[in-house]
Amino acid sequence: MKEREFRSIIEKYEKLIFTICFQFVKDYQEAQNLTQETFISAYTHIDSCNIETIKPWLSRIATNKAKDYLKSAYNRRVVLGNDDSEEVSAVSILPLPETLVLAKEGVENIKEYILNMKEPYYKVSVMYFLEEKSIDEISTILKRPKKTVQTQIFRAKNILKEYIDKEG
Amino acid sequence: MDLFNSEGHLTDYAFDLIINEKANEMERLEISEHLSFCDECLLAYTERLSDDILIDIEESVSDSVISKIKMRIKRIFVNKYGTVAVAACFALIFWTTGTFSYFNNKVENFTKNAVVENADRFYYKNTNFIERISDSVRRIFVFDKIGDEY
Repeated sequence: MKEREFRSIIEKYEKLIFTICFQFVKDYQEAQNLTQETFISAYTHIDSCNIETIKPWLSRIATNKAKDYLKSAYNRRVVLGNDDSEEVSAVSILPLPETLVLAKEGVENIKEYILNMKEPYYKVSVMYFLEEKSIDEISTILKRPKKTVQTQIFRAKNILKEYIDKEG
Repeated sequence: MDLFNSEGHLTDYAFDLIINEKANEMERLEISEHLSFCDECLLAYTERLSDDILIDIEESVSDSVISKIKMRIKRIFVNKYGTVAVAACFALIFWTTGTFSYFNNKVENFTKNAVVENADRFYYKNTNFIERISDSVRRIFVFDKIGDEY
């Protein structure tokens, strides 16, 4: 793609991409950086994009950039505050809530709590904790990326842990 | 109010939270995670971003993006073709200074000397082998003749 053509694409969509980035990261400077990164990534993979679908394609790249930024910011905070990271735990999910459940003989209560969970954790939790499906299976059934499923299970475990701690 | 409906897609409430910049960090993270793989919700979200909602940027990013892309292309070019260029330069230097012909002569002389030095040894081994075979053949025939006599 020629420079002039790509420049016109940037000029046409930069407001949209900046708005998406800003709505997610809520920081002007960071949104501007992510906007730039979005267009650089777009240029690198421009061959894989149909020009007619460029708007949703660029929006997808922007939301991915924003998601990565929010995730790393969240992880940094979790590491600093809790000495535990979502990334690390997402890779090797510990069976902590299950163990606690057995120890406190509150299986039925926990089951009830899982069944009343809200999305995006409800389906993932039911499949993982109650139906004992693997992450790969859940990812295939729900058509969600494996990493997203891992993250959602990690957060669901934290929600369960908080509930169990509260219940005593 | 829920961010996701029973089918796992974003609700109007979730879109309103994001567009009106009222979502907290966790909500923004959950929504962005969902938008990163759900085409349906991404389309619904971008459709809601009408011109009056879009935020103006103080300065266009086009110049900085283009210059960063050019820098990246330059770096890739240098990495890719730099090595080839250096190798070509060395080849040219060796060629013009006669280094190649020096090595060629060396190799040629080495090959010649090796052939001359080993020719005698080869000849000796070869004749020795042939003699041994013919000797064995002769013995067999002589043995047969002796057998016939008995």
